[in-house]
Amino acid sequence: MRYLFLTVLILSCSSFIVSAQRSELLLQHYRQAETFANQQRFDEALHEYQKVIELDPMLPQAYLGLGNIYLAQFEFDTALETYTQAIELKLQLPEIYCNRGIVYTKQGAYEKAVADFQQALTIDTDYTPARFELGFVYQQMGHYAKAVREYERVLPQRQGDLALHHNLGRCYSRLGQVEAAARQHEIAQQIREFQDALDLAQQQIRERPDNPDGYMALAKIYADHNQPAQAFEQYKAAILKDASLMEAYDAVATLYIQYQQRGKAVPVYKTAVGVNSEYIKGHLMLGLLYQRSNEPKASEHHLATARQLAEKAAETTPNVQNLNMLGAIYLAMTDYNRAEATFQQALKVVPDNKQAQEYLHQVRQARKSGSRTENQ
Amino acid sequence: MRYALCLFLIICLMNVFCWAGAEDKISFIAVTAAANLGFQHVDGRSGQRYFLETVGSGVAFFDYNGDSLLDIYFVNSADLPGSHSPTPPTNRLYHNNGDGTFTDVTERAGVGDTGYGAGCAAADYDNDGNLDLYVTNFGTNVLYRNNGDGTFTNVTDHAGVGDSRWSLGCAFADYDNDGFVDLYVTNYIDFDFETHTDCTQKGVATYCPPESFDGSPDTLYRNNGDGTFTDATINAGVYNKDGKGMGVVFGDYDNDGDVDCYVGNDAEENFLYQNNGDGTFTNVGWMAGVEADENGNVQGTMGVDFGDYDNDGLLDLIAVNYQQQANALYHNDNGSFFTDVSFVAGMAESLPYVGWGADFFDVDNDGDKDLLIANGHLQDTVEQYDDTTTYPQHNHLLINNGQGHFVNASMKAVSGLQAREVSRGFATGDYDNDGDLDVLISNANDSPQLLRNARGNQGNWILIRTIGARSNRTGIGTRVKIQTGDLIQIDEVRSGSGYLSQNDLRLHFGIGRHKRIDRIEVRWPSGVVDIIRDLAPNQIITITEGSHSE
Repeated sequence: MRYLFLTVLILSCSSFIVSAQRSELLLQHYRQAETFANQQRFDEALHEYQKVIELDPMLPQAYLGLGNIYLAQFEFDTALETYTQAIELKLQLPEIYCNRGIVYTKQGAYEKAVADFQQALTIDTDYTPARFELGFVYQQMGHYAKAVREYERVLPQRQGDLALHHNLGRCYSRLGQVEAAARQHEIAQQIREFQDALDLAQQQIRERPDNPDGYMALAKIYADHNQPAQAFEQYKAAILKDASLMEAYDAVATLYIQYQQRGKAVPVYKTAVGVNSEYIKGHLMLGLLYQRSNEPKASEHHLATARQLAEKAAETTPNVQNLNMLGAIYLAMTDYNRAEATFQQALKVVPDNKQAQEYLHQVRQARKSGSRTENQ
Repeated sequence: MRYALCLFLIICLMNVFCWAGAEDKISFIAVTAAANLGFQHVDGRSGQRYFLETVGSGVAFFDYNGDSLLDIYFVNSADLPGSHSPTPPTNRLYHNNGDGTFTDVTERAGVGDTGYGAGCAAADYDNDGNLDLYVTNFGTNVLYRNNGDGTFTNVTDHAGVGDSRWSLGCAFADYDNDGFVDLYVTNYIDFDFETHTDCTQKGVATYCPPESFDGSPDTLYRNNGDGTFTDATINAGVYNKDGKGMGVVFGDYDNDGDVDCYVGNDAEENFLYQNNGDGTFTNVGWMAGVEADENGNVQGTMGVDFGDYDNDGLLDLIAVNYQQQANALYHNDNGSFFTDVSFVAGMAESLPYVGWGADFFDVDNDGDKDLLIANGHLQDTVEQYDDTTTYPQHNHLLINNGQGHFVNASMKAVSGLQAREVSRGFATGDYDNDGDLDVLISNANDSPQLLRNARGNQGNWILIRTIGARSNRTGIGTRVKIQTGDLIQIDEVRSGSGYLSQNDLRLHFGIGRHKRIDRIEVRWPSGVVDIIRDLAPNQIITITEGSHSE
């Protein structure tokens, strides 16, 4: 009896160990499959998912992953079969019904697609991919009002989604709502332009990964489209490629200022002038930022340094850029006479230079408000 | 009851087997060498990777000497800086001898343009009864007037159609219905040798993408009726600076009796110019749903064609695209709007391919239009950085199953299409007048392929030549509706379509096993309608405008 008990115990332990090892292996393959899938290395991902299924043929998530690979490769029949296997294993995820619905849509089985999208939304009413796809299948079926209803429900969560705006426009067009259609078409065009610009910049980065220009271009696109987090990331990448790239520091600090975080701009300019002590704009901006934060000594120090460097630059090369910079420094130092004279000199070099004209206007405004203050 | 059920099952099975065998009935035989077509396309490559080298050229099937046999015109490119051919690459005209062979008559005919050629289209622009020829170039385009004696005269300057930008596609049609064909020319991009730069993909040298270049607006020339043309681009409302035009095709998609125009652009929205009937057009591409794919992404569209693949009396559209962009099949729903049915119709198979030429044609004479797509990557180094595709590719013959779906039959039974080529433009036409459509393919920097359709005529057929009287002489834009039992088909006479090419101007209809043609309705651009009833199939007929009006 004791012997029998020991045998059972040993067998249980070994089975537990084998099972644990199996689980560990399964997890490894599953993670690997997901990684490959994310990297669009479909053949390798497929291989890994198949290993997972060999280890546990009852794991529905593996069928879901596998189905997604087939769908990405437009192998609709196999994808359909695989998703159905996952569903038969009682996997109640909205994603799986949604993706099977997509396959049905691609095959023209619209009623079945509608049923799957509705099932996905029954599981999770906020699952926007299913709602968008439901809109799309209604559109394909010619039910444009229904499609618009679903698309409009998705719109708050998917602003900037090209497919959504494009198809919403097509449905409005079908419904005779020409102005609404035109608006959506315009938005779709803007999104495409943004994406094209991103693609070009990303291509530049792929082709010359060590050159900061591509990162700068990408950052500017993000900055122009009010995506500061992505812009910061790309500017930082540019600085990592070239630590002496003053325009990258300036762009980062400008973004901070634009988003009302002046305090964060200061260390950026400080780093910049630390890297290049002759960076005139850095000193000027530090002077102005310290002025704002009531740190007169620091402000005077940087403005003085900026002035010294700018005077030298303008003397050596009296072009419009150097003269405008020098004038701006005089303006910051409230030396209006010198500022005015410098901008006028700049306008002699390039008579219609808009920046010099704008600065000159600022000088005159500052003078006026200064004299008003004195009179008061 | 049981007997009836058995009979029904047997009939069903017979239908299945008949269909399963349809692809096996198709056979193309490569007869290029046997036909004495010694043409060789030269793209002028020298390792500099000028973008010009990628686009290849078109071909034409047209009867230049009026002997009812289709002759062949090949457009050639030219040497570029750094390349030196022993003899200058030249466009070539081959005369059809009527015995399956051709004779090079280029020099005698005087059509051996040596510009950096791209596309061609044929039409009788001066209504003198002879087909003239327009050729697009990187540089000045050329209009050859047919003298009617086997020779042509270059009348480009006199006619005022020598657009000097980089033109690709061209098509004649009488958009203002004045009896003279006008001319639409697509212009591609603003290319300059001076600003040429290299591009790379994963460290491999490549041609730069079209997004690297500015587009070039297309041109519409209005025929003045006196041998000259006027640039009507702006007045007609087809000026569009964003275009990177490649293929162009005319067709009356809204069945209102005037020709509309579809332009395929590379990496830009495609244009559908709806004819307003007053000499102007409106681009309704985005309204109609044919400017981009179902996700709103613009495509790298090359070839385009109109055709009624589901026989519902409305012209549908095919636009063939770059790699990873499914060829777009747009179903015409009601003459105003289209639905993108690419995936449902089976176009996903095109994803690894770069498509160029496209044509709706009934290859097996079964009464519905099939599709031929010419493929070939534009990056000759693609295999070094992308293992999902190849530079030479299979062309795709897609058989219409009559239920809205196309099945790729290229590799099953179509011997002449099994080779992998770097194909560009192609033309379809019945060069041997045996009742089925043959195929002539231009391959980039390579010899062309003439593929004789060996078994298409197992189904009955009719070929219709149109001669306009009030309308333009070639009858371009004429809508023909043919009724055989419950099968009704439509098509239109087109000059210039697909990718930079000219198909047989005669309309071909397969009618399967039908023994009689009940009715042929011919609607001319002038509005005249001719009707012919109860006609035997398997013949080539000529219909003159007004000869059968009721």
